[in-house]
Amino acid sequence: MSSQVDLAELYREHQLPMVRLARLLVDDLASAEDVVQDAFLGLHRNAGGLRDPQAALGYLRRSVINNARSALRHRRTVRAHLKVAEPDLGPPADAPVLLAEEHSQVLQAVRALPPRQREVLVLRYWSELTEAQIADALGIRPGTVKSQASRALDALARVLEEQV
Amino acid sequence: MTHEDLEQRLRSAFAAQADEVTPNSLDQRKQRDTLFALQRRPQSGRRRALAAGVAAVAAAGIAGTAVALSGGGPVGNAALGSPSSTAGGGNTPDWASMKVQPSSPSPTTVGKLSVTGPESATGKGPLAKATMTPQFAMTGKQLTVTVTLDDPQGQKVQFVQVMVDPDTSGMMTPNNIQRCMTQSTKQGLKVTLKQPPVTIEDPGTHVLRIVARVCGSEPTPYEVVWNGTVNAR
Repeated sequence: MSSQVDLAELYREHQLPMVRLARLLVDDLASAEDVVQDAFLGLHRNAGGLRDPQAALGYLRRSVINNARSALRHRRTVRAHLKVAEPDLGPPADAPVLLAEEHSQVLQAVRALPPRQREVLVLRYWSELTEAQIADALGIRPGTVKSQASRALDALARVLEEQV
Repeated sequence: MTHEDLEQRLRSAFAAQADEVTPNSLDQRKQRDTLFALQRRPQSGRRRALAAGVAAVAAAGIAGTAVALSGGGPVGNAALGSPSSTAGGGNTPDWASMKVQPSSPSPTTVGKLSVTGPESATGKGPLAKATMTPQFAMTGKQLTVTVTLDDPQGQKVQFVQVMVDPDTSGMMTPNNIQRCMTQSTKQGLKVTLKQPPVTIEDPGTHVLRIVARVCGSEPTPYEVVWNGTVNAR
């Protein structure tokens, strides 16, 4: 019988980069950690037929992205309902107050993008994935990756130029 | 601004934000829990169903058992849950550290209290991952409830109301809804809320309902509801 993927080892090795990826997608560290924890536990539940660590990593990345998207959707719903009581929830507790102003501006503009465009940018410019890998991670065609990236960059350029 | 410039700015900004996440900034307890879970053998669907069935039977057993806690003093005290659930923690009130005993005759019958209900309650909708675990103490006719909330998604549950015989005592009043809890302590995602005591005038069995709610979430409240009964002699 071939050996299965050692999930504990996978966790030790990839938890931090996955939390960083999730942090770029959901804006706060606590949610990012939850997203990654759920992804690993999901992998654990379905680990029976998993033999290839690379495949496990791909599965994990897809789970993190999907969970992050769900977390953002959930947060939007909650904030919409709490609008009367808490009109201004403010930035997350670990907002990038220490980041350089130029980074903050860019990140703020990225947060305003549609989730799919934001995901494409993060996977391309932080994870440094190819278009094919991004397409696989997001479950879309490579052509869509290219068009989403192009639209996202155009939108960002407009926003950032307005701020100058 | 060219796309090349923009790409460079994106890489720098993403790297700067990602670098803020360090091994030391991660939740150590969550890491331990996850590692522990990953090192256990995953259960097959059938085994999971069997385990769920066993858990359901066990839960039904717990729910059907009146658990009474008897204090050593002249008054009775009660706590609900397994013995380990009342182990004294950093923010646990003194009375909650007393041991849970089955409803066997207590050293004293004065103020004896029995509580029947689930060990904990889980919310719905936005609070689907939140769990509320109540603990009880009785002094004379005064029933004090302390609620521990494990709220992994941080929905800001601040308000707890304890209702005795809610069908006859009425629904929440606007005044009650305004009274968001302030007597709370927080440890990680766990919040402990101590409710001012409620008076149980008549001995016998009473319906007990505990509602934990996100303040300001009306008219469709985000809440966790615990339903049980209390028997005061």
